[in-house]
Amino acid sequence: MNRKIILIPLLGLFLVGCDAGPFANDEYKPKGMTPTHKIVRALTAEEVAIFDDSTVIADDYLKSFTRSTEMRIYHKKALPSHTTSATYDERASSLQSHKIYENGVFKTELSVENERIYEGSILNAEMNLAYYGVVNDDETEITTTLDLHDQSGEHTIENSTDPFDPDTDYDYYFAINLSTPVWSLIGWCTIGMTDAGLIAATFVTNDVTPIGSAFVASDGSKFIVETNTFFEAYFAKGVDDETETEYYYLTQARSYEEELIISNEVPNIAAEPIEYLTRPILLAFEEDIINASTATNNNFAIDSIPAPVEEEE
Amino acid sequence: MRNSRLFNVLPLIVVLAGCSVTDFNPFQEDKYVPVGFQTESIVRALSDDEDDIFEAGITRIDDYITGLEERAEIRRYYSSYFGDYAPDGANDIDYSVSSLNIIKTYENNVKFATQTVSESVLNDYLDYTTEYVLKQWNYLPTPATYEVRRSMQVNDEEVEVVTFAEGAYVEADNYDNLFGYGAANYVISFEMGASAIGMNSSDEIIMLIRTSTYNVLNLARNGFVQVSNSFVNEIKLALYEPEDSDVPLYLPIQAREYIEQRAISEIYHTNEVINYLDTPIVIGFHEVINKWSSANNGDYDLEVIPEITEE
Repeated sequence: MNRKIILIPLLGLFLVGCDAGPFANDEYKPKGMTPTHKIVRALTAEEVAIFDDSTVIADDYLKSFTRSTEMRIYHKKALPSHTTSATYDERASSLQSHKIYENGVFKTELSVENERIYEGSILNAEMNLAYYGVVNDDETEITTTLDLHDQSGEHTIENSTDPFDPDTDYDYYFAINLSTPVWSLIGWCTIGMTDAGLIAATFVTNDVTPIGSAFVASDGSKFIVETNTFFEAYFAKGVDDETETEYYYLTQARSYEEELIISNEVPNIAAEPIEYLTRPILLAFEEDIINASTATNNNFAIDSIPAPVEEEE
Repeated sequence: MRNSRLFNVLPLIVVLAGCSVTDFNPFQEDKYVPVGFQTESIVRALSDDEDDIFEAGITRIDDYITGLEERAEIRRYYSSYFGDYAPDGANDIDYSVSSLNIIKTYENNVKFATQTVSESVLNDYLDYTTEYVLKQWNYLPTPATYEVRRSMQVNDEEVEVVTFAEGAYVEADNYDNLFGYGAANYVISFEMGASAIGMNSSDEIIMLIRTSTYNVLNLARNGFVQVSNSFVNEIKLALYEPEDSDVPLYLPIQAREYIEQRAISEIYHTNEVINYLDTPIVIGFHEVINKWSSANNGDYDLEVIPEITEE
């Protein structure tokens, strides 16, 4: 009797452990297929007109953005009975930010962490960088500094000074351009207004592998896989200080794609029915979240930019 | 009968938590546990300097390799695992080979190898083990001639010594073949196929190749079984600072090749649905571990080389 009582807590620990992800310190939980806000009404004609006109100008008002990308592949964890030496789980995490300051400075940061776990092998790689640009008072030169910790663990700081023409070079160094990850997708979206007065743009897709092209595990067994994608973007209204033109700018966008195993092994005989799972198994996901802001970042403390490191003889 | 017993055991194996593969071994005295899928971990990429040293040093590797220890272990369990369904012919056996080959090159142009091999065969009507000891001397009887002399002993039989090869010796043409190890070519071909290259936590270069295939194994009695074949190759190179040069290089110190075959389904016949195993079972493997050496082996005592066995 006593022995049974001791066993129950141990069993509980084991079950929790089995459900844990394969990557140490990986606490990322994707938002998944659930939208952040609901669309509660259609746009008015005036809102549509402002939004349509915003497409080409809205990014010009942005002063900062962050973009996080989290990718997980669980080919080993999802199908433990079907692994080979080539089967792995993989994590790729990246965080990027870009800020434009009032005193002619930008700062871009990027950190990347990759991990791949085979049965018996772990491969790790990390890097991070900070990239600064400072335009001189005459707006004729820009000095850029790259502070890099590369994937080998080496730390280097290098800078260079190049000619700068505000008319032709500003976009290259400073501007935030969300045309590819956001604006190019708007045409696919359902668009409406949220309770909070944000324009929402969303779309959802669903695809299931046809039987003839089922997911093939590395041991050759086949499974039916469902692929779901979700995209949402929210836009707030802004007003141009000088022209008083109204526009909608991006505050947040999120894209998510997941692959779910929804069947047991596909039978080798065509006439045999496929057994579908009541609870799908997550095979992979990728989530990309962008946050943007028009708020000023004030002046950057130029003294805080690290000085180049002299190479050792 | 053996087959039936095995499948009775399978439900028990399934409940072994956290274990997705079961080892199976009919050779009762076999203590060898393969390293298998386990490899060194890569914790970072090579720096530019490390990469430059590695690439520039590859062609010099053979200048410093003076020895090799090669261990090979092969197991195949078709007879006891498949029982009456074991494939016909040479595959209808359990098979085990353990081989250790120790090779050294000496300062006085002698390369001496000792290979000990134990080969076992097991099924319902065969159960025997053969021991081999093969020794080989590559040496120069005169400065302008070479000879490859071999001695072979099988079990407790008398040792037989023969001249395996001989001919004119020209250092530029024959040295690598007679006294070298081909380690540079090994590293080059490994690098070309590597799926991962990086550094371990001890600042040694690790290269990995991990691949797999799958196929249907044709069995007796019109039976089939699904199998997967896993391949794991790893090589480790350490920084070496030679006494005769200020330019360091990375020398290979160990390489391992592992091939494993797993049964992933129950035996089935034409028009039967494949039942996949919750716990795949290892039915054969092949593991070879090479360890290179750069030690100075001094001179070899030529008097030790045995005389040719008389007819």
